[in-house]
Amino acid sequence: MKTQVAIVGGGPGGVASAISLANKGIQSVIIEKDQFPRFHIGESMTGECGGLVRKLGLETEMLQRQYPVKHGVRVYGQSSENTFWIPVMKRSDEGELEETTTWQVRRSDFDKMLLDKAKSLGVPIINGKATGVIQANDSTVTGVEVRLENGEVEMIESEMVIDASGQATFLSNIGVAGNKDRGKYDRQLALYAHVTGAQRDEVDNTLIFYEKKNHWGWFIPIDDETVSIGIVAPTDYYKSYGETPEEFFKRKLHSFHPEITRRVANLESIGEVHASSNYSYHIKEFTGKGFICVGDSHRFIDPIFSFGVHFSITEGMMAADAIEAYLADGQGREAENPFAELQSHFELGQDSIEDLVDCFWGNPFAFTFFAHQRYREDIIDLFAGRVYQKNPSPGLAALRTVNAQIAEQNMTVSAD
Amino acid sequence: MNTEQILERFIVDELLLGAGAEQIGVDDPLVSSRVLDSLGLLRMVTFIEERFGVTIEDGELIPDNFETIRQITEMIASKQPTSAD
Repeated sequence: MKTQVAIVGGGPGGVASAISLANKGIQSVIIEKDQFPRFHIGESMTGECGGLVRKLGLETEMLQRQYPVKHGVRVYGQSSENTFWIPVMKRSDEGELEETTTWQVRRSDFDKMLLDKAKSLGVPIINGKATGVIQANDSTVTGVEVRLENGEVEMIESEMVIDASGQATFLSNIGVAGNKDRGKYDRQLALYAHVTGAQRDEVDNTLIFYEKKNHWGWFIPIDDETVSIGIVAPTDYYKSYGETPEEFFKRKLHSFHPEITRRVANLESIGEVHASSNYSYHIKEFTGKGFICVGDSHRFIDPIFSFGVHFSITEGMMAADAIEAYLADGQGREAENPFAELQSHFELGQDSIEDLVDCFWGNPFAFTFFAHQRYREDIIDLFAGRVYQKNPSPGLAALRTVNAQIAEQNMTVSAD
Repeated sequence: MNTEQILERFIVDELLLGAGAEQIGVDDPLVSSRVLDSLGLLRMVTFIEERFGVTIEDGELIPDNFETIRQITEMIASKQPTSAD
């Protein structure tokens, strides 16, 4: 079959691309290997992401589903008294910060709602696994090879391919996009489950618990009854206990942090315990002739501040804008990489969040001082997902100053 | 009161709320001994800036710089004009 844009992956990144393209009158096809609904984590949305979901025309559906409304993120330090609060805020037309809200969602349900929306706009969903690409002589990507559920192979010819395959990193794996570098947080293990009967606050928000460097947990309400709880620790630390993921998770729930212990005292049920390991990576060349990777398919940074869905949806929509310009006037078609500018734009956003995360782990004291006091508004902007400013805000510059200092110290230490 | 005394009073009265030691020596460890938790440290920075009219730079926000009253005093002194008080 033929289409204008072949999209690999029917998660939020793929669907955001498809809906945006459809709104521009550009035809696309989504290739998805799993049957929806399917389990996924990444359940807390940033403020800007909430705004984009509204922009995609989904506000009514979101409200009908009554997802827990998120007003902000509370980070608990080692003691319960030592917390900080980052409210979800937007910028008014005059540039003033104003309170707003976003959502926390059950991803199986949210992702299916998104995919159904794309279907309703006439986007075909092909159930199958992308196994390769079609390439022209100059290596321009001109389509996707798909193994269908019945074992047949279908060639989908297209003018563009969007890789929204998430952690499967489809185009990198087949050597079209660049190599996958291990990120800074690659020796981590996350164990998580959906629980019921947890003690919730009067107003549901995303809670993060800091135990010590690289040991943290999350508590995200995803519907009336269910809360997603996750515990993250270095893989070696987990292995040293010789426990199954389930044993480790259940024991840790009651010993990890007083603020989790208090909330799980009377749990009714603990769903299946899932585990993800080694989950941080960076693919530096992820756009090129005929292709763009969005979201997790090119980069995954420490997920502590909930930017997964944010980057998928934001980048999916930006990819659609770039493709519209490219298809309309062949803009940059002669260039070695017609999407080089888009690529650095995506990196600008992800770099800002990596700076935020690096400072949080590297110097929590400086981080907290910035977040509480000195650069409160700039940090609120970063948490909200306003991460594409060409000139860094004073707060982001300060994070970078501190990170550079930490990197220098680490070098001195390793040289000793 | 000199700078050292002002800092000691602030720690004992405001941060420890009289629940900790009555006196703190100029070389007693504050951070590594956990006399000050991170929240205490944050309040200390704000107090120093307001009380002494100096700015702690972004790059100086390292717990080690606040390890003892003597160290903090020296940092403050290095930021103040050397001429008459």
